Amino acid sequence: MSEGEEHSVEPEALAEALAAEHAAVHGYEFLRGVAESAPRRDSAGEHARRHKALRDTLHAAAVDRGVEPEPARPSYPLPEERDQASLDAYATGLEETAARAYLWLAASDDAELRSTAARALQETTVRALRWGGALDALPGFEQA
Amino acid sequence: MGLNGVSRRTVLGAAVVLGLAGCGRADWYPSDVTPEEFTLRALIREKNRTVARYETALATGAGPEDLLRPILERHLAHLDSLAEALPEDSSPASAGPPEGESSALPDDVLDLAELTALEAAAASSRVDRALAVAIPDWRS
Repeated sequence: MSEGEEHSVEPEALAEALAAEHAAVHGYEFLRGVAESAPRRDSAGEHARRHKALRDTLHAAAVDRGVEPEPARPSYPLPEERDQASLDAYATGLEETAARAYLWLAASDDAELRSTAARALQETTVRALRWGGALDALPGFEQA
Repeated sequence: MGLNGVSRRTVLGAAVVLGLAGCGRADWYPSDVTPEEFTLRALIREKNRTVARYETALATGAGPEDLLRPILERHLAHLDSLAEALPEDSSPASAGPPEGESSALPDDVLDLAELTALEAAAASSRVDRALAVAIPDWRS
């Protein structure tokens, strides 16, 4: 991206995607600590790393475009139940929240953001499936 | 900004069409079809070809049915959703492929590795097209 180049950006969509990534990082770090099985802890760790990378990408994109990036909150809602099914559903919810945010961002006028969002939406859809989520025909759409 | 005065639902629709479904050409659309419809129809044509690939693979036993059948059903569900997204007043004449593009469905048999490659290529194509798509003036 060249210096001084103007971008048409949707700050709200970018902020929502970044907020979803902050929540996902927090959530997966929590899951890495409480998941009962080693494979689930490993998956949580792997997904936390990926969401951190996406968070950093979005943070940099916001800064590059003159948008003040919102910092992470001190805490995020966590599941009350700690059984495996509840934790899997919680992880699925993290990904579904991210999917909705990325779908919105995919409508950006900014080609780089569209590309980032499209790729991230594909990734988050696959991760949701790995946690037992359902596959919607159009992932990220708010269901009626 | 592109979102001012536009409902989120509209933007989401645009995202599916422009950002994810992609379009065949980044800088040209038939004058009687909106970019969204053009893009949807291109994706529907591609999806029909993919469905034909899976149906042929299932009919010829090219792969395990318990693996291929659910994937085919997902493609069919996606196809239905895409068709539902077409505007009600869209012209049937606009349903055909652009000049130079065949409407014939493939009948050669792909094995599992080739179907996997087909899916990977389709996923990659969505991102490429999201990058290349031209935003119409009315959105800027």
